[in-house]
Amino acid sequence: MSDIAIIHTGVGNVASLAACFRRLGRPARLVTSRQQIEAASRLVLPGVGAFGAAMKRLEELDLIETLRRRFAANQPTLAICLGMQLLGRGSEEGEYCSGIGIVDSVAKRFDDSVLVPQIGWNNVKADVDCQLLQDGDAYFANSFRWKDSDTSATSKQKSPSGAQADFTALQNDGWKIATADHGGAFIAAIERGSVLACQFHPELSGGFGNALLSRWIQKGEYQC
Amino acid sequence: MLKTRIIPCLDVDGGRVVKGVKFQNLRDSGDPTALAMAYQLQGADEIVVLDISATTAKRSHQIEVIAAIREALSIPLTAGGGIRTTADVERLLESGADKVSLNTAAVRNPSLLSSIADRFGSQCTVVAIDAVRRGASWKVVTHSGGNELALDAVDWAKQAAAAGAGEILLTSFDRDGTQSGYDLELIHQVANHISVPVIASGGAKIPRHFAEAVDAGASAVLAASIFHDKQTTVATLKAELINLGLELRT
Repeated sequence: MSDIAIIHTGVGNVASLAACFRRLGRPARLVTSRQQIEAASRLVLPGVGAFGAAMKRLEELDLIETLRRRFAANQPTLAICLGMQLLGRGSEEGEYCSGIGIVDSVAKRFDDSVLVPQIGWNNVKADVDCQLLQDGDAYFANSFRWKDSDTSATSKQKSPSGAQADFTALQNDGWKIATADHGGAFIAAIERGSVLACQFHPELSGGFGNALLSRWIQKGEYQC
Repeated sequence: MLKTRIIPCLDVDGGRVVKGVKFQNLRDSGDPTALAMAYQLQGADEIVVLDISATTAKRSHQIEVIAAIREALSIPLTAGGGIRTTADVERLLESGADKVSLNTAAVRNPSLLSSIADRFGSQCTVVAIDAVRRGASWKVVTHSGGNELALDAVDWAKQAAAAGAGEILLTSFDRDGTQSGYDLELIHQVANHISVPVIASGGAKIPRHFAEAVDAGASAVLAASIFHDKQTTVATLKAELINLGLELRT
């Protein structure tokens, strides 16, 4: 039995993700129940439709507290695209909706000055202290993102002038970050221990994505 | 900053890749998965697979073609051709397509676009527009050019984007298969009026054609014949375009 479990909430394309893990030689199971998720040694939270609908589905499946405990315990977990945004405090997609609240950020729509949705390959720059994330081009498909000024409101008050201040707040919470630029810097991915969250789609990012997922799988193995 | 995407397009009929001039005189040029993998290896940024099968029986291969490509491919895959309902979209996404491209069905029923975008997201909703030049403007054509509509192509692009399309795949029917270059005015007009990415299609042969399309406002450039006929490779084209100053993924 595979040790990688993908939360399958119904809507959303997990076919590419499942195919990617098969190519990496680690076929994944699709899971929906709290018991299966608690038992999973490596868990993937994929992007699933709209933010509000996804949160509602996670609530219906009674998974929110399970996920919070999982992140608090630093169990190997990967969140992708909308899955990453769900970790935040909330999103302005549709009516404001609260998220799981692991990360002190709010997802906001890209500025009108750039093409929205952001679709295509963008250059990811990883902080030097990242263990999983590296520099390279990754495939993005998103209209909302975590922008520097949209993260922690409290830290913004502490240092109102610094554009990096809010990214710093994430770093102060123990997250190592990677950024990209689309009308300004935004969070491309964050990592903390065995937890990795990517705004981009590693399963669609060719060799860059494959290598990242391999590192995430291996990182989990060192811990086990 | 986003890189310009180079997208080989596989026109598939009954499970085999074909490409014709002006959508006629189709020639057989290969196995879809083998071609898609060759293009990925050359550095393609995405693969588009359009099923142009004329009959339901022949189109029955569409799902298996997408599933077979997905199993091997690690870059984005867009499926188009014959999509009429959200159930069709769901089947293709479940088979491994990352995006779906709608054409005739979207023209007939723009609310279908909203349904698809609401359910699956704009980022996976592509609208393919085939446009034919008529004087100073362009009309939408469907059915491989067999049916010209009164609908203005630029107006339709605006309407489609407003209804939830996340990308416009814009083909010049006049230029398709001619290798005489993209219809730059068409690209410029559409890109100027919408805020979603435009994929330019139809007529590319030499690197300058691709660069011109990007200058005109295209976020991505799509081509078929020049790759299938081995006039160039994606890798060679990318190297030439980088020399022309374009930002590409390497």
